[in-house]
Amino acid sequence: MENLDMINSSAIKYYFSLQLKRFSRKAADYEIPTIVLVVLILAAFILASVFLFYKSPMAKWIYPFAGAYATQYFSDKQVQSIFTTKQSFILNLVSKLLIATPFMGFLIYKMEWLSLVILFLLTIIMAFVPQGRNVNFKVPTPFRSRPFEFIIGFRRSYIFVLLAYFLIFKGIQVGNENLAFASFSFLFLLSMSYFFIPENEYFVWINSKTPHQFLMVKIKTAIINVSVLTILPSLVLLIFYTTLWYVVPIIYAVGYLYLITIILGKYAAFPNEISIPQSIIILISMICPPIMIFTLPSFYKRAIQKLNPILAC
Amino acid sequence: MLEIIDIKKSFGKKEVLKGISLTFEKGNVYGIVGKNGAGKTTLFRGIAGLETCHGKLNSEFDILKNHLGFLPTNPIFMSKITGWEYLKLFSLARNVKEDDFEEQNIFELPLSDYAEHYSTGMKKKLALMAILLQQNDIYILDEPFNGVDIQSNLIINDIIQKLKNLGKIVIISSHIFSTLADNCDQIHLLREGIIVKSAEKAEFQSVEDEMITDIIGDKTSNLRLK
Repeated sequence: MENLDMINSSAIKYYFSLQLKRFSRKAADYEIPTIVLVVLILAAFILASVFLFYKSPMAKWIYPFAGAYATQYFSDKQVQSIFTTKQSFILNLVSKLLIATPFMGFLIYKMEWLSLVILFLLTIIMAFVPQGRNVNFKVPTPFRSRPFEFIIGFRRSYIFVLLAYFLIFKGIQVGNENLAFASFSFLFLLSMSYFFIPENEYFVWINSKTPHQFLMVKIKTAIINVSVLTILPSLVLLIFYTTLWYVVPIIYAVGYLYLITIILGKYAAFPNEISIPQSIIILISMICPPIMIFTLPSFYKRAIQKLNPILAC
Repeated sequence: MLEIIDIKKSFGKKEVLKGISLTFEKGNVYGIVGKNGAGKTTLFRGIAGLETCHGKLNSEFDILKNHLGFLPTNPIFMSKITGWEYLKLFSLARNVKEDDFEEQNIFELPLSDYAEHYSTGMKKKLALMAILLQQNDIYILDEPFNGVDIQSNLIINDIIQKLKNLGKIVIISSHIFSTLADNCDQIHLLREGIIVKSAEKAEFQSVEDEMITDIIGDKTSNLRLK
């Protein structure tokens, strides 16, 4: 038994050393030293966090949920199938705490103790959610007629969608408009995350569309689907906060713009994942929207170039 | 008609296709045989435009791929997508307005289940159904019989004959020579990136003999079985 535990502990250590190797190899792909990539990611993270807290009074509410979602999003879904139940729980917990650490660190810096406790509790709860379990329970979605990003994304994140809905209504109930609007904004952030991972090029190839038509359909579908996801809470917010009627259209306008940026950014990198340098450009564009005058046409042009050999052959 | 002229493809220094020229006529079924690594899949991906190759492709279509259904050897599936949603995705991709797939579900697949949980054969059948629903003019089927049960094999044979009668071009690869002999009007033997033999129906036996020599040769004697 003791011997088995030793093997388990070695396996866990080996797993994390492999993750480190994978990260270093990714850095090597971008031809930058690992330490520089770490600094870049941290700098981008701090920049985004400072911006969020500077711009939005709702930040302290958005932040713990964004952190909890990140722990879920970046978790390794293969762990469950490789390791024993006990090992996968430990791996899951440690991985999630590691991913949550920068978020927790920033909350400590901001002395947002309540948000910190919420994030910590959510992270622990998330560790109990098995990763990549082979279940055939089908989550119904309102996006059936327009596959596929929102169907997949919604099925992976429906707990967070329900949580956001709950917090919108809770915010209204306790008279905390910041919580309500923050949770509403979070729905847009969730939708954006559905476009982070590129599909196999075969699923682009099957389309009989020009690259321009393809991108337009993607954008149109995303706008329709995010509207479906947000229409009910937006009406409720408009009814309960009539004096703040302008907030909802502003969130919609910014949310749509960010979504378009992510879609164009995704296909500008296609068939690869959005690279770290590209992520930083996207992030800077979001922080300073006037830059989008340059970045959006550039992403669009690059996306057309990347899609052209696949769609126009 | 689809004509491929002097198609070449290299991966680094390795030349996988060494100048292949073939003509495919409407209402005909073509078989491509060859052992693993002969270049069948690369050739198919090249015709489909999924692989950049040197050479020329002539067809009556402005954009060939918009009229071409390609069934890969191992169909790709996204996670958390049901069979129904997979079919819908493929239909929408070719602007086919179809919502009720129950009647076309001749393989009796559980369309409301996640496709990622299907068996190998079921995945193959779903992928085949998806490209058939697109109403293509040319079909490239890379190992369509792999992992599929005997009943479905019969159905696939029937589908190929229906496509032929409808005037479609069908190009198939298979390791099972008999399935090609049953279905094809012409078979091409591919070896190390070159078409070494092309045969009409009457000469299929000679292709099979050559293929057996090519694949087995005298290798089993090396086992020194006693």
